Amino acid sequence: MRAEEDISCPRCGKPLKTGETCPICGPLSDEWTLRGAPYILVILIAILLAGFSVTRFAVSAYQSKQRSLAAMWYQRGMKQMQDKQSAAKAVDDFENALALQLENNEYRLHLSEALIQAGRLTEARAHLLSLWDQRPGDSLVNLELARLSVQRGEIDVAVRYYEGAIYGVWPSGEVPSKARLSTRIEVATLLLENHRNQQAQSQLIAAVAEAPQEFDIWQQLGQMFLEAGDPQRSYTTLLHARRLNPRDRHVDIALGEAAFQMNKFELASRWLYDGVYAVPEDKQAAQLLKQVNDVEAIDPFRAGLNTRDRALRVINLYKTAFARLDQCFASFNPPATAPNQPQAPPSIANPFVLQAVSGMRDWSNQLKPKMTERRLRGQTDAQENAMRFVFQAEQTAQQYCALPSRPIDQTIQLLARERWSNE
Amino acid sequence: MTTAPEAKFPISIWRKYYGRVRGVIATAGELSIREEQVFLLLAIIIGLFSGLLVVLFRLLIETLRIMLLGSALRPSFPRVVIVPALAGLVIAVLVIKVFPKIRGSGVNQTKGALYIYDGYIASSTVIGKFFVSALAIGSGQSLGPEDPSLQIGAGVASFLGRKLKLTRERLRLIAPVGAAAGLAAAFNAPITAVLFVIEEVIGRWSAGILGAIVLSAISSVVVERWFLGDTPLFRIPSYHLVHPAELLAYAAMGVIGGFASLVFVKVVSYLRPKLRTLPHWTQYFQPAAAGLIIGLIGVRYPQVMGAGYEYMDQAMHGRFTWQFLAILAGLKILSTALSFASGTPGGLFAPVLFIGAMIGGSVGMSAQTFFPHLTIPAGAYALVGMGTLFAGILRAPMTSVFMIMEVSGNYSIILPVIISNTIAYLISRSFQPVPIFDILSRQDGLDLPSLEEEREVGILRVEDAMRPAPIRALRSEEPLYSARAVVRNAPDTELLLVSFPDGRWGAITAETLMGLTVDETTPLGDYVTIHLPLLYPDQALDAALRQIKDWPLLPVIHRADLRRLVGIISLKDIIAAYHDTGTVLHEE
Repeated sequence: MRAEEDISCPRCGKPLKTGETCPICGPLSDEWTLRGAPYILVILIAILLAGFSVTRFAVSAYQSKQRSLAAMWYQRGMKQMQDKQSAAKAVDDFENALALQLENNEYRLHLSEALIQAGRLTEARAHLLSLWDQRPGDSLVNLELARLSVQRGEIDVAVRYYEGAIYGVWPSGEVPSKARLSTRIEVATLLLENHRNQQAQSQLIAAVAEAPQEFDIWQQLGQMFLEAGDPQRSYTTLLHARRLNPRDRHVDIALGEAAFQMNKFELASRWLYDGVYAVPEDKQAAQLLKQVNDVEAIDPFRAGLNTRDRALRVINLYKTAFARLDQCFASFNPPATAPNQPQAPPSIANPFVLQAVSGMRDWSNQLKPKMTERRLRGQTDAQENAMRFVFQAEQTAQQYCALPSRPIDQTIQLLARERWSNE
Repeated sequence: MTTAPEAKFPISIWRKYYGRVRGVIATAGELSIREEQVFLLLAIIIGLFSGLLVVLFRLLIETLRIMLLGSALRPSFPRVVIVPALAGLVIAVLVIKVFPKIRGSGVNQTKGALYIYDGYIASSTVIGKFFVSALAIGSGQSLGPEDPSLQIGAGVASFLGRKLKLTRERLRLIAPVGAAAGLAAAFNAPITAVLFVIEEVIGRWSAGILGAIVLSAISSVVVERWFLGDTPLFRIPSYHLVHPAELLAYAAMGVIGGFASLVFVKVVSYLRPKLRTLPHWTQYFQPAAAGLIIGLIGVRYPQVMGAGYEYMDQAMHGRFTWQFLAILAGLKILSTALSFASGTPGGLFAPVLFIGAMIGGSVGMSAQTFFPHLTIPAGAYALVGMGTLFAGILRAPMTSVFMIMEVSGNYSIILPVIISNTIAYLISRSFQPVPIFDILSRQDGLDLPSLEEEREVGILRVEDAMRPAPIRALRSEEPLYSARAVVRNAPDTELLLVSFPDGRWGAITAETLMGLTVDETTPLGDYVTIHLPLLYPDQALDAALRQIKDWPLLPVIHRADLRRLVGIISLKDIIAAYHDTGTVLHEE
């Protein structure tokens, strides 16, 4: 209820009794008269202008203070970030900075990074997504979101954000081409780890196109091409890297590997020889060189061999293949465990397999009479036919028989690869 | 020695233009300016002043917070306990001794200015609200700046209106205009402010006042954005409804939010009168005690201190676990109830939003935990939670929906917001019929109109009071003999209603009609000189009361056929209808 003492003049606030008229202001009018209103309005506008100035000054002073405090927390956070153990403290500092300057996207971005470092991925993602809402073309935000998506196992989403980062706008401190390249390398690495070689190759091709003339980058790209299953591009890239820095012999080993992948064993042997000579501690390269040399040692088609050696190599390989095939056939018909017991049935009941192995045996029997040095010498077609048998016998044995693979078998396979790829 | 021309220049300019400036002002004084025009201009000026004051108010709060509690989100141990308690003592002395009218809700005080005090809000109240609320919020009391901002705006408006000597009606309406400006600047959300003032303070859409409110709200937001930037209050990750089943989760949140609203309202409405009934000397220590308790809570949970907008942002970014968010919501209810009930000046808006964000975030995080296939980000829940509690506690459903969209700049969230808010509002209204602002005003001894109750009161319409016409209506083109035959068949008839082809209606008395000594085939319309105002069945009965004047009865016409008489209505019918309704209400 309206209390009696509560009544006051609406104009001056003087307490009044019910029904009493204010002695200062008089009765309230229901009609408005101009009476000095324009003057008051002019005065009001003048006061407003003064008010704007005062507020401007106050806001500037406050914002300056706020900025310096936020910067102080930010700097602390950055220091904490350098110490990997203090990510949680860095989060607190960045949160303090962000609370003082809620719209500072740099603070929010660093907070996200600290959160990722502290393992608080959900929070980091939320902050990054809110940044992304504002700046979908921001490369750094996209990059962080991509990395976060990788941690969450969302590869497709990550690739999308990586693309966003590559084609986005980089902050002024970054060199866009460099940042783009490193992002491409990052996404290609991710794709390789997830066996998406085709996608990785396209990233690497684009990366090569914008790579600066720096040995390390070209070497890395060359290695990645190799991992992506593109030895041709790998070889070219590594060759370019070698031109940039001929003294680094590690690249020779990589070139050897690339040549090996290309089934160019002679070329591989050359690079690997140089590489292993310069870097003897690389056991893997040495092993590869040995493999290559083994192939070279049995290769009947190697340039520079005389006709006799060539024929002898073919005969040796034929004998190896024949023995292998024999072993394979025997594995289907193991000998009886006791003299009185009947012969065990073939272990593989598939008639197609038996037919294939039998067919190879028939072929070997047909070739057998021709496998003499005299009959093979200078007979290129016969040599070719014999080598086809060798390769197919090895393939059949590998495909259908559960026999352990010996070094010579692997070498024959490599030889077959080289031969057929050259064809 | 000669004076340099540069030194003379300003004086000479002033001399040259002084006379002209005086002339312009004098001419302006003689201009004929209508009050409506001045009112609209004044609304803009009020908005500008309110915007400036709200900006300064916010700066003061933040400055005091940094000075008293430090710039870290988590204040150091001694400060967090000592500062709110000591500040509480200062606040108590200021409230009791210097600014006794700054207690309580600014919304109710603005409504009081509108409905009781002819638009009067004391300037000392504005000053007190400005400084003491800033001290309270800056020292960590669990209150928000929006309500004081609203009252600061209303106070500025009242002051300016008085200085311009506006008429009583304009002076009354000026306080809500300022309130809208203050709230708009505080929230950086003009639509929300306009809707809130219409929905909660004025209670009606009136073209006359709406323009002024919109102008003041916009101008204050322009000032606020000019100084503090135009970014929305909250930033959440983008939200898209992936599956309609997600709406069920939001509906569940509406239920939880509805009951949480009830708890808040019950605690505040219980605690406030209880503390007031304690001996007077205890009032000096109540804000300090509240501050001490809040400080002790703040040692472990500093998030509950102050307005808490930073933490709302964190909740929206999945900063806390759902259990922690639920604890924060509970503690915020307790600390806000303590702060508000102890008489510390400050608003409920921010705490309500905080509680909503925490409850929403908690529901969202738990939904993600227990139903991982739901893809909704917790931030969206926190945002919807704010609107839910706003609708449940402050009972302004329209405002709550628009507020969420406006403060977040996110319009795709409207569907979940509507669902959740409506459920919370209905639950709150079912179990707590009186809204919190009405409870508070009644506790303060003011019987302000409850706008929610008014919205619920049915409007009496013409169709509720009209009765069928005893005889058919005549047509102006009818011949006299036909009209006379009607009178002969109903000898008690005194007045006959006549319709014209152009939609007008007139009347002729039976006596006049029968006394005419003219050709019987003449059209009746030639002798009807009385033209009546028309009524339609759907019109408010109030309209009939205004139009009936001295007419014994008025025709009620069909809107689609202006010559069709639906019924008639007389003053007696109108009074009977009001009487019947009054009896029903009394019996209820």
